[in-house]
Amino acid sequence: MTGAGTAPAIELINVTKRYGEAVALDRVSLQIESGEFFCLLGPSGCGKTTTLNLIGGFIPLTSGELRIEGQRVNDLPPHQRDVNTVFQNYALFPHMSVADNVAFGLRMESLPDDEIGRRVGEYLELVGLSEYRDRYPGQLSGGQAQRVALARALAKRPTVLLLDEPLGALDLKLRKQMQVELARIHRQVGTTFVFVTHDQEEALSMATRIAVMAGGHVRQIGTPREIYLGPVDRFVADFIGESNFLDGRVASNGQGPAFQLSNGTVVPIPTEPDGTQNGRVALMIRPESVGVGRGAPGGMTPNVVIDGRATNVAFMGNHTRITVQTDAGILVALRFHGESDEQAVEEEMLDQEVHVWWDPRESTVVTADDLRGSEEELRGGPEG
Amino acid sequence: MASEIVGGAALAPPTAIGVRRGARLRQLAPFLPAAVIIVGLFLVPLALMFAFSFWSTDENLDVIPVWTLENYQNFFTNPTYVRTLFKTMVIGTGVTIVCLAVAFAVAYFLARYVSRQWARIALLVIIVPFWTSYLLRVYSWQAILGERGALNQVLVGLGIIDEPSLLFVYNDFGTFIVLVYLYIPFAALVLYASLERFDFTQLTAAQDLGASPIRAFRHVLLPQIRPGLITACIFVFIPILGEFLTPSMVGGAQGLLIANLLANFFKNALIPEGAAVGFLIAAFVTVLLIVFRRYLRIEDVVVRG
Amino acid sequence: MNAIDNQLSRRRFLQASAAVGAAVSLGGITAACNAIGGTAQGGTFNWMTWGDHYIDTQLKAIEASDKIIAQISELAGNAEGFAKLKEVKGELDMISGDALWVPDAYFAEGLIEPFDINSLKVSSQLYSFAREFDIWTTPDGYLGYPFGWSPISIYYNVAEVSPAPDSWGVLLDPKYKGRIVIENQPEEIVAYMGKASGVDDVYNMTDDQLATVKGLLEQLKPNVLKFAQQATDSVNAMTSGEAWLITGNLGNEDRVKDAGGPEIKGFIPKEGTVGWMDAEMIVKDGANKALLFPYLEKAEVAENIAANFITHGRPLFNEAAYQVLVNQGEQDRADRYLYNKAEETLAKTTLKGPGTSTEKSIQLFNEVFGA
Repeated sequence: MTGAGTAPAIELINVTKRYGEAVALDRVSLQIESGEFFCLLGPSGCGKTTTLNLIGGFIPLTSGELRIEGQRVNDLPPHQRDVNTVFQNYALFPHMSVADNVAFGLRMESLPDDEIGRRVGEYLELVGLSEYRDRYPGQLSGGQAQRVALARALAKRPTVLLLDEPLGALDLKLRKQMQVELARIHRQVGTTFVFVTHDQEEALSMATRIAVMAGGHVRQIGTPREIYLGPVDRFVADFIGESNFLDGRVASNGQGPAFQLSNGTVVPIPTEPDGTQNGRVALMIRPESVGVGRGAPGGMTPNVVIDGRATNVAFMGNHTRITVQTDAGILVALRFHGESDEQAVEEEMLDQEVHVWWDPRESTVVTADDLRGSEEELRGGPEG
Repeated sequence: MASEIVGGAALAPPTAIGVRRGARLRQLAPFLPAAVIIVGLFLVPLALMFAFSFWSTDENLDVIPVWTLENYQNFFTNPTYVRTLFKTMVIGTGVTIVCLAVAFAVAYFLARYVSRQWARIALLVIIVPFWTSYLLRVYSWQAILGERGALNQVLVGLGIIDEPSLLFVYNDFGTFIVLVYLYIPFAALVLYASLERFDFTQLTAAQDLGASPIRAFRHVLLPQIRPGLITACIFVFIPILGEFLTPSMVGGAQGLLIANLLANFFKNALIPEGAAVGFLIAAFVTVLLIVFRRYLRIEDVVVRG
Repeated sequence: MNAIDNQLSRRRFLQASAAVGAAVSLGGITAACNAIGGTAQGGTFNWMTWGDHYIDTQLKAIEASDKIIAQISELAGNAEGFAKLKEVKGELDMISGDALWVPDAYFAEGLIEPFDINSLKVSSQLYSFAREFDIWTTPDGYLGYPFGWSPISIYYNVAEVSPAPDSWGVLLDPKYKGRIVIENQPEEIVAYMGKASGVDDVYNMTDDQLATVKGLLEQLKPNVLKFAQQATDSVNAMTSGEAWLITGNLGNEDRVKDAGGPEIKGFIPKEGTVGWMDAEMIVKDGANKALLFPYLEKAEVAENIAANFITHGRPLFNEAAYQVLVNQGEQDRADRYLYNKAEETLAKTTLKGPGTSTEKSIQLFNEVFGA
């Protein structure tokens, strides 16, 4: 066993969770380092909430081992784990005032009254609710209730704070605010956060590392940047951000590994990816990497260029989204407004012959055979 | 109770103050039937009973409207009545506790672990026996608990006891068991209704915050279902104060409760004498209700808040 | 369902307070019924009586032949019936009552109407003494049409109770702890103990006599298993063997035997007993009074009364019915039930009636049988 000082905050070793025949989590191994803002991301049914419940101690493991700061805690009941949770529906106690809600966990520890009072004040201030201490949960807005839940869990000063889709019930604007707020609080308290969400944008904006899950497996673990730019498979690529996928096959253009699109265009790729020799593969290009125009691209970059027809031009506020039908497939390109106002140009593109191009260094070959996770499970709604 | 109604009227929302009288009357019209029922079927008879209780009965069983405190003196000077009332309360309290404990377990299980649809069916099954006659059910208990009853036959058949026991029925134990049986469904329904609304994640949250399951139960669940618990207490305890059929049928000669003594007066047309006992019990019940109500209101405010 | 005490009292007082309303609605029903059957010959009358005073098939037959419908409400007891009639008065047309309740309560209160019993042809079937009871005779006529009667006897399980008892004292024997089932009628239980203590006029006891009775009630209490809500409770307890001693009307030995129970015997205690004889009284100013004589003429005939005896098993006052029973081969049973010994048996019993010591009796009972 690893010493407590150097051990990860949370460690899952070959953890499996079954409900009867159904496997919710299949031999998952995972390490979450102390101080991380770690995000479990995936569609409904991917196992992310199961993982959280296992860590919280609310459900038992079927097999494998769970460690908190190096200590095996498989059989420790929730109230003895140094882990606290912000629940999806907040689970505030409606018969207690805000202050009493925050004090609840401290009273359970039998802390002295003045210490409890001090901490309640401290954490209500941290979440900006000092003036609401005497209100009851029924009198709070969703965002306020969310902060109370946060203060209540943090006041215990746990090793790890678990957050189960805490922003799911908030409207978009509030959610954006709370994302910033959560990130600030995380920096301020320094506690390890484990955050469950199905919203990739939330994960990208807050997490230090993300585990993308599907079908009870972890598909990829990495920083937001690593995952966004280098998704290991089509599922991850599709789940994180918007992607263009062009069918084709791995080939060689004589100078190194390459990808041949269905229209015959050969695109050089940096290295031949593992596991792509068999089965279907696709070339992934992020829309913001795709250039579009009636004329040929300028500049020095060795772009890949294909011809097509702009079938849709949509003004999206800070950018315009242009859909182009090419003989290699449909490509979506984003043009951000700013430096040069090309609005007129864009509007003229509709139903016109255009060129699309991208820097081949920004495209990635991904396996395309496993679409189960992305297509079916995404329909299941936000709960995981 | 009356004072509470007055209190409620005094607390009418301020928006109603400026409304003209006609509109006000129209607003109150839907409550007229309820008012007629409360006044006609509750307050007037109660007032009559109060008046009767100070009169007496002559040899022709005619009520003589001459004021006397004798009926009340009888109650308090003859230790039987106070003692029997006390015994009734002890049994009532015991039955209430057992009913609530058992009903809580059932309701908790149904509310937490059973789908709403199946819980409804289970509750229906619990209630179904109550569509049959009260007498029939109590007679069945005589047949179960009696010397030649099913319970004794099973116990003797299994060799647990050698001879049929006479201890199961026609004593306070018999009354206790049957009263528990009769009132559990009321308690179960009320408790289920309040548990159904409870968000059980709160118990998980409490445990997550360091509360053992027992403390989570005590500090989080109990305070929130207190209105339901109190209502269940009212539904069980107060009717038991008025139970006379069950004690006389399965309590036997040694198990009479206060309502039996009361019924004996009415059975012999001794209306004022019975009225005094009845009024004392009614007054007692009213005091209990007010006490219960007070608890209810505090909880209501907190839960609603 | 159960009536809780304050509901009970509430209901009682509601009856008193809302008598007018009840009268109006009852009147409405009566009027409606009259309208339906309202020829001079037929109609509906309202009768409050015990369940053993009629047999449904007989009522149906009279309804079919004479268009007279008896609208029956259940009579719980003498005191309750009396209190009820005082409330509703002429809304009822006929009511049943026991022995001294008839003159001392109903007639004294002016609630019933004396009539010439001999003007009823069917009355010729009665024992002649039944038409001449002093207590029911007034200058204006007879107070009721005599129906049934019985002394209260003690019945014992022959195998369990020995030696054969002959006295009320057997009920006090500690040997029979928890083995007695007795009627749920406090004033009667006090009266039995009055008899046991040698008092004759058990419904009008003095304070001294009541003090003695209290001692006996205290001895009785541990012996009583339960109070019978209805006569069948006593019979069932005897049949199952739970009870070894019961009190009740004539005929219980056959009822227990018919139910497959053990051999039991009955006796009238040597100290004397209480008894009842009942009659149908004609309510003063009853709206449908005209229907009563035609009804009684049909209902009280010997064949009907004989059938009633077979069904309900206690003697009646119809002499002609005795002959019917003899012809039907039921003489043995009729004789065992003292069918034709009414006059001498009743002479030895204290007849039920309202007494001066009723309230004290109830208080005494409550004092002993309360907790």
